[in-house]
Amino acid sequence: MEIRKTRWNLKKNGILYVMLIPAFALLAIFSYYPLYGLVIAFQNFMPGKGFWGSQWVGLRNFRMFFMMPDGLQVVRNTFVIAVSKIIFGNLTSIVFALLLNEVRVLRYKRMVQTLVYLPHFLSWVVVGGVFIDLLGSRGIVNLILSLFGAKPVAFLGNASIFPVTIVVTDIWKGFGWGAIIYLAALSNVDVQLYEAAIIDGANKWQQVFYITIPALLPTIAVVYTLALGNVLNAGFEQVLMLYNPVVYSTGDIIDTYTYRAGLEQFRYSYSAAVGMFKSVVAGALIILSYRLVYRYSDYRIF
Amino acid sequence: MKRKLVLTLALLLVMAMALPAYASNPKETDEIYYKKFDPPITISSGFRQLDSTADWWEGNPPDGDNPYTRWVLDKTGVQYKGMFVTSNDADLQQQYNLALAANDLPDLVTKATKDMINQMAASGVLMPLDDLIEEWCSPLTKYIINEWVDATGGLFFAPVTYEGKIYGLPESGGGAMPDYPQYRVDILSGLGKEIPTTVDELEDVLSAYHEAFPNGVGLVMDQGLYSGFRLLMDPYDAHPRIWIEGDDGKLVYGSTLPEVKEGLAALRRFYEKGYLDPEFYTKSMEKAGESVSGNNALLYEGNWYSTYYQFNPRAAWEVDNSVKVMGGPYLTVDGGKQHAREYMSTGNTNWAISAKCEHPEAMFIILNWQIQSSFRDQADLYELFGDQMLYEYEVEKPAINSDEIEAAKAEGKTGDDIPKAIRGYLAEGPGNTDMQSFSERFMPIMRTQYGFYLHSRPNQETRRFERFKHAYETDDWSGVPATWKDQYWGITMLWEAMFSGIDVFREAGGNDIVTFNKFVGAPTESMTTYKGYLDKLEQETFTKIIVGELPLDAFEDFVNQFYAFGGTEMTEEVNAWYDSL
Amino acid sequence: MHATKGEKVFQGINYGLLAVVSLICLFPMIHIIALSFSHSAYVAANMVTFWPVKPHILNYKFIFEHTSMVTNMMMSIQRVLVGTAVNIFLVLITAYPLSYDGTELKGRNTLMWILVVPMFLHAGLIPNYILISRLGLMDSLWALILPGAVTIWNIIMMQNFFRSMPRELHEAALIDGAGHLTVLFRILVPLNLAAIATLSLFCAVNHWNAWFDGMIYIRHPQKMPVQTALRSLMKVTAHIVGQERFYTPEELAMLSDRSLTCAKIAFTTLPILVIYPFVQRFFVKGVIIGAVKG
Repeated sequence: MEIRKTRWNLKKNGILYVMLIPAFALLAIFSYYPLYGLVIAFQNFMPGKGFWGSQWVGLRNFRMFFMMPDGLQVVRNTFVIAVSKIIFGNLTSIVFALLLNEVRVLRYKRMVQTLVYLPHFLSWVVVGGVFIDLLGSRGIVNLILSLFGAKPVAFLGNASIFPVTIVVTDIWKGFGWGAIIYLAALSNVDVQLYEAAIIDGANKWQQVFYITIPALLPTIAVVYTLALGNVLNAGFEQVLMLYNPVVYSTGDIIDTYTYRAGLEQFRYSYSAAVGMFKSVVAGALIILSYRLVYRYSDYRIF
Repeated sequence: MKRKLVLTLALLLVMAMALPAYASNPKETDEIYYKKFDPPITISSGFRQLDSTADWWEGNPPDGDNPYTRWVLDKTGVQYKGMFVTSNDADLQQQYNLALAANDLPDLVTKATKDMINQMAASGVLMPLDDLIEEWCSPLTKYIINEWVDATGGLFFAPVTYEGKIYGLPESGGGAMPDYPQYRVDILSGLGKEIPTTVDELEDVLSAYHEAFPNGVGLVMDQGLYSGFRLLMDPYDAHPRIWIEGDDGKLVYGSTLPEVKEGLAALRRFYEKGYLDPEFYTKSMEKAGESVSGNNALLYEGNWYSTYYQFNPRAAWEVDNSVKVMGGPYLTVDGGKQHAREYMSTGNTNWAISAKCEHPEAMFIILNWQIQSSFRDQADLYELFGDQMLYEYEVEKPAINSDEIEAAKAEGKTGDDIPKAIRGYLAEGPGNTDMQSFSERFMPIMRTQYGFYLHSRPNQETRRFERFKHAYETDDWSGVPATWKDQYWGITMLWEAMFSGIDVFREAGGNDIVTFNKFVGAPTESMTTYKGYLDKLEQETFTKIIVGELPLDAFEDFVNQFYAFGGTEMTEEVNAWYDSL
Repeated sequence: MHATKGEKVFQGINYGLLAVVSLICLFPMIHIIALSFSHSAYVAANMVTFWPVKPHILNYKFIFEHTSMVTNMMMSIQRVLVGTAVNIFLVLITAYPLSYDGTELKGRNTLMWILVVPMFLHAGLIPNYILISRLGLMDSLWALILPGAVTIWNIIMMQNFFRSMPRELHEAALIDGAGHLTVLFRILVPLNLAAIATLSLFCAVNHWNAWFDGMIYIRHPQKMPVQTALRSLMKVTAHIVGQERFYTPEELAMLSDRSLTCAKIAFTTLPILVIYPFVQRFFVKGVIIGAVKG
């Protein structure tokens, strides 16, 4: 049937623009208007002098970030944590999805799903609080370790271990939820492919290797590519809940660094500059990742 | 005849005790220092609650209705209003920070660090206080302030001075005495040794201890290099981590001076010989203290409160009652000059007034009232100010103990009726009536939240200790609150450890031997940028030198790095500040 | 199809593994809940695992009587209801026009860009704080709702759903004289209820779990949403000190800061734990739809 496109008619379609007003008005007020505040990134902002009265310093704040040893350290930490989360988190989700996919009893499958999705819905305040107790020196994890004769581990107090703790607790919280997309992809695989393979004498491993994984590859590719846009987001809320000065050297990420500089050290301009740098780079990465995904698969975001 | 006399006296006594609140009610006065605002005015501020709840002293939020706010309203007509209320200090600082960024501070800024004060002053959002102090502080208040100025070597207002003007009132603070070495004298006498007075004698003692107790810790040290570290620095006139005047009168960072190297050499020697805990650098202060409570240490450096806090020998004493701790003198090098570190601090917490405040004088009026109420047990003030004192002189009363409170509650009394029922009058001034001293009448948390307040005089702690010591030595507890006898579980051992510290300090010459940190201003620009890194460098280098991972000459490398990486700028800025005072 | 022996073994291991994984997801919360009901001596001695030891409800009593957490929870519920309603309403009326092409709606592509940019370009905390302050929204519910009212990602998803609806549907309606609003609410919405329900639930969960904005914009503890309240309480180390006068010595012996903190965490999580099993299936269905359709 031929699809006749409606001609653009102001009277009839004017209302479409009216419908857009609330959202765009809110965006204008709450998202666009405050952007003027970014100007403090180029100043030496003094609250009493305000935005127009503060001294202009150009790119000095940005340069300082790259010159200080802790500036680069923070970027490194962010990358390490974010990339680890992306790689291992998805890996865990994929493996879990594969395993769950093999379950034949529907009720059991449902039960497991119910349980593993739960952590996703808890806030980081709650999850953070839970793990602070569990991983503390008197917590149950160290208790179990001591039963095996191991010495207590400072999961949250040791700079070498802290990033691992961050990644692992994040996986705990998100692997189940992250597996949904893989489960969906797996459920789309034609059952007949499996049947044909079994008739040809393929065993379990071969089935997985030649059918399941290739079926998953497009999804995996999309997920990892989209994740590219996230490499600078190592999990602000999580890290803020769990970190402490002892682990800054490996656990301080760009967002927490910016937050502290602004709200604890009075370095407003510096904080704004670093935040802006991150926004711009993250934005570029997101656009890049969307472009890549669009070009190589048919997955259109918008 | 005699009987009549006795009866009359008894009658008078009874009457005196039954006298109503008049004894505590202040006199009327029309001095402007104590004026009342009519109609009442509102002062906004930021508060911290004890918990994120409405619960605080009879169940009201800090800016609500409680005995303290009622008192202030009654005396001065000032009503407090909370612009923000938080449940912990970190959030409070954050809210102040945000308010500052938005240039929307409350009238009264409380619990502000000196950094904040300087930032705010530089931003022009605070009111300078010099004229206000001059105009609105009562003579009594000014006297107390000057006491503090003297006690801190003139530096009382220095942390909050910006471009020559005062922008805040520091919370007065100070201990009773500097940290001092404390020895297990029972072990010493077991070894046939005396308390050492010089570094060499100490080494001798430590060596004997180590022989007798190869697994014991001779000198306790912690990973932050706080405890035990200064013990070997002071004798050499080395003053790491503070800014002192060099020979040319300019300020220099103590950790970079050659004397520090000598102290490090001594510590390094001690570590090598096993007098220190081989793993001290992994231990926090609390962990390090376990050697003491575990009866496995000879000597630690601490203050009077260390004996019941981090370095608590009580656990060891409970196992073996012969445990005895006494303080020893500050060590010298061959009988030279003693040195001690400072114990008075100023500028860590301050109050300030927003430039937009309409009635800044209200803070000073409240301050005047608070000083009148807090120091009515200080006899020397009464001699000096006589008529100007509004309250009658009173000795500190014994504390109301919890049994009395329970009894009153059982009779159905609540709130202010409780102290009234127990003592026969309502203790004037709000606060926790469990506290007996007037200066303690305000709960500690309250002190920093309302108005301007000076809660003690310099050396009040020391004087308190002396009274305590006197009572203990003469067994005459009449001049002190009776409950003091039960403090610290009545364990004599702990008292002696505490009191010996005062003796040590007094015999050494008191404040004369103290080296003050001359830089008390807010962190300078370079400090904000570099100090974190430099502090870390210092701690790592010094620790590694002590444990032998780095050679002693690494000290020079540290000094060079310090000045190369920000130290020079910092020194310049510090001296600029010092000159501007 | 006969299950071979290897198959059976594999299935057995698989089931076992999945069981372990599921329990790992569940047990931390159970442990915390157990701690919250246990006697302090056992808590301190680390003798509590997954079942309360010498249980008592004093910690919860404390929460009800001496904290504002119940009020905070009311605030959170309010926020969730109002916030989600605002979110979804905006999603619907914004996604619909944007689901048309650039030829049908002039400037559509530009509008999409304007919509998307705020997703990653942020002004930073302080300008936002100043704005909220100037608008007089400090301490109010709206400070928590308005800044995030436009949920950009959801709008994008929704307009994708609308796009994938057959054109004939609303073409026909429009020709018949129906207005756009009718098309949206009478035709498209009923057909996409599952997706809308899913997005609503996402918004609701986000509102429930949000804590950072409360920390900045709500300055009186009674008005905070419950997650913010929990967060600020976690920074307080001694909760019971100062409240002793309300309890008998026996009761004080049972309370402890650690178990109290656990109770606060458990209390905050309670609504989610209760509602979750019922709504869980919506999520899965909805997300799958989204993933596959996209």
